[in-house]
Amino acid sequence: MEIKNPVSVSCREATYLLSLKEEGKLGYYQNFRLYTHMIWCKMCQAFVKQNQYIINQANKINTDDVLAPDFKLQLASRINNELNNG
Amino acid sequence: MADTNTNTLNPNTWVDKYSDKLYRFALMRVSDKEVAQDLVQDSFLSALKNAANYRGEISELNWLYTILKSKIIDHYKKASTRLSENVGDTPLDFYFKGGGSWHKNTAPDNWGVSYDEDRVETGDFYRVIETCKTKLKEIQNAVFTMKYMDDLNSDDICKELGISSSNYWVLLHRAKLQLRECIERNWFDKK
Repeated sequence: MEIKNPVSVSCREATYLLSLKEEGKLGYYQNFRLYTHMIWCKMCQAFVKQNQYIINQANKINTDDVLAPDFKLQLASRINNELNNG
Repeated sequence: MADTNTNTLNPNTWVDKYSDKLYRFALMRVSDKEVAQDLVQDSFLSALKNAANYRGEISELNWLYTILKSKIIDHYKKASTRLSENVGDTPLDFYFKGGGSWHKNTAPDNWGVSYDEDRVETGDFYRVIETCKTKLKEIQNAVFTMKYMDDLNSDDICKELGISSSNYWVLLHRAKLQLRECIERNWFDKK
């Protein structure tokens, strides 16, 4: 059984609360416990930075995939049919 | 004012002009080629059915995007009902010890990059991100993508997906943990 530290959260709690903090959804006390954890925990600091890095990079992904030519032909003819029968 | 709307629909040109754009948009959000392809098709067909409702206030392409987005949400919703029973599937003790501190082997490691720098990584790195995203449960991927790529807030995402806010925070927590660990293991550990 885990004993809750009144002053500071654990890494597990911190990684959870960080998302809530982003949206300003933490109360004063939770905010304080998160803060006291984050000032010394290098690993949770890295967690924050790395997630931000992943998000920044994920937003740069621009796939150059295209639809298969066969699928496009089928789709075009289906649209054409709908137009003529609609 | 209505007379100034000059946008019209030309469904015969949709496939040539827009299908690849819409496909890529979908692919980044569902991570499955077949699903993305079906979503594009469904969007075109439902656009045809609703063509009478198009009033030319937005461009044809933006109108098609709107339809595609709602198809993607419908797809996520199906995933959220399918998977609602095992939201907590990735065991947290993979990352954390009983007391809640990181396990040594799954704790964030030094990536040796300057995190704040707005650099462009190589194509291989982007493929690792994509692969790791596809390894998330679809509902986790949905939550992560809507939050961090579509810039929606938690209240809207919960409403769109029909999930409770406590489920939402758990899903997002797991998605972040898993994605980070997967990227570290498949990219930074190998550099």
